Amino acid sequence: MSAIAVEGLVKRWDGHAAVDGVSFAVPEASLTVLLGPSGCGKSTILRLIAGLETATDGTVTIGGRDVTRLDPAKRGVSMVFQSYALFPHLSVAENILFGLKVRRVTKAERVRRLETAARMVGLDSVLERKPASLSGGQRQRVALARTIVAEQPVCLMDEPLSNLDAKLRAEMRDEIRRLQRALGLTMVYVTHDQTEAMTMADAVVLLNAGRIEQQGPPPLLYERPATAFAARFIGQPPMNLLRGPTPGTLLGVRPEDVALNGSGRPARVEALDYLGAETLLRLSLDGEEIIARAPGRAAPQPGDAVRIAWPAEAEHHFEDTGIRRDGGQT
Amino acid sequence: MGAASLRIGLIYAITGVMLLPIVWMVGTSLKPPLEYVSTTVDLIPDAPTLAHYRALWADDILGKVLNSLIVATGATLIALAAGFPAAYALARLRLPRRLDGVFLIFVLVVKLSPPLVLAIPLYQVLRTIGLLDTLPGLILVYQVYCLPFAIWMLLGFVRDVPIAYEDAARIEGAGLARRLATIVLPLITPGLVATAVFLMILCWNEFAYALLFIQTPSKFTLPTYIATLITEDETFWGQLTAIGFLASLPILALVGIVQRGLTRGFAGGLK
Repeated sequence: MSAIAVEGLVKRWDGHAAVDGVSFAVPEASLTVLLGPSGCGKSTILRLIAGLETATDGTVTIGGRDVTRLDPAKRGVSMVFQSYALFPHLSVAENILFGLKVRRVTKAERVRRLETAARMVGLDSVLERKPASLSGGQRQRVALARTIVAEQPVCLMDEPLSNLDAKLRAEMRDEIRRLQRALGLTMVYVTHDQTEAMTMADAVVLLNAGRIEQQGPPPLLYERPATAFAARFIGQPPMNLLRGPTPGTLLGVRPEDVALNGSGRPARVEALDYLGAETLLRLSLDGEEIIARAPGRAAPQPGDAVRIAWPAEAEHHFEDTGIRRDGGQT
Repeated sequence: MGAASLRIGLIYAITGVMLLPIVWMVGTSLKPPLEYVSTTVDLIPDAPTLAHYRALWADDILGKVLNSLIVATGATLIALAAGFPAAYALARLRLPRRLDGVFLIFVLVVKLSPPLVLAIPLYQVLRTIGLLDTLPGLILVYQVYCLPFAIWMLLGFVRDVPIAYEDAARIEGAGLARRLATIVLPLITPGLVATAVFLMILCWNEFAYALLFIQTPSKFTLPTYIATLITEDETFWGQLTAIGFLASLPILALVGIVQRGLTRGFAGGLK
């Protein structure tokens, strides 16, 4: 009983709507990622679910219970902050057990939960140290341990990996996903990193300027972007957007669908980005830039004239307002 | 002569200039009157005497020190106790119509206005509540200086405590009192100590209100007592310098004890 439902959520500050009518549902024991550029309102939505901000309008329900006006402590949630928010004057163990002491959990139970959590995230050896003496990865693990011992059904994560280097980030992605599954947590995870969204999410809610652009499982967002914004935001490099065949339309093609082909349209190679396993060719096609992704080391050189083509089913068509023409909205 | 020795020479020279008045003060306090009124300048007394210190002792100097201690400590504790909640509220809550900003400016205006502007209303207040010519009354009026100072100084320290700490604690179930006691106060302790030291010094040296609101000699604080040593007929330089030296000792000791906390307080407190 920990499914989350957000209905018509609005948060206004001084007349400016940071969150502007957002609705989505998070099934029990699943992981939903709130994805979007900075300032899109994703963190505000998370804080509204946590109860750290008060909604201007709309409702939040957790496990069927309307919690919109409920105190954060009574919502049955735990939260990991971008800064980890570890108390610098307390030891690792005291940090992990802070909430349990507040909630008057018995000493024996605290010891049991601390041992379990420390083992799960590999912190046994640093429990007596202060957060300042830990590495970034260890601090992240302390924050995770804090949510594990809380044993709350809902876990909220606010860009938890953005302070880690790339290698550690990949490790922690796996670890968080593993924990979420093992503990059956209902998780809402905020990030601006599409890789985290694509690899971890059961469902993605893509936000822009306080509104939802598209929501659904990661493959849907990649394969059938509902808007030009979604098409550009997900995928690296982003989808090519060209002038459409009819005025007032946009034509989208993913770089991997653009093939060098003897019988296609003439284009010129402007530059190459060699990445090892693949090469990105930046081409100019009728005065527009288009990126093609070719495996291995590509033969053409800058300045070469080439011909390119893509299959008709790889085309995505958008109105110039950004809306998908063949009803991609889900 | 290298640059290093030049620097060391300069440091000695500056230190010497800074210490000169203090050495002169201590020297004068040990001279018999005939020596200090003579026209020759002499730092070291020819015939040292403790007569001035004995005179102070006979005049119940300890009682004056005790008065000063009671007033400074009491005023400091009250300023911290009232200033911290105010600073916390101003740092964390958004009052409508920018009233928080208005309040802070108002507090600053009170602090910047000359103390004598408020003397007459304060006198009437003290008389009404029967605290005129009492140490608790003096502690109360010192809040005119101390409270604005405490609020402004603590405001900076509270703002330095990341709001995420408190958010995390709130979600874990900690109410306001618990968050203040277990998170905010421990983290701003260096700031509290630094603020306390400055408040103590402020009250220790205060003269105008002590002169206006205390009439009974046995309740004099050190600055008002010192003033009695300058009379129409004679200035008791020996006792004056002796007490000047003695009165600076407690504050010197206080600063010495908490110096670490003081510099940490200035350095941002949380590092």
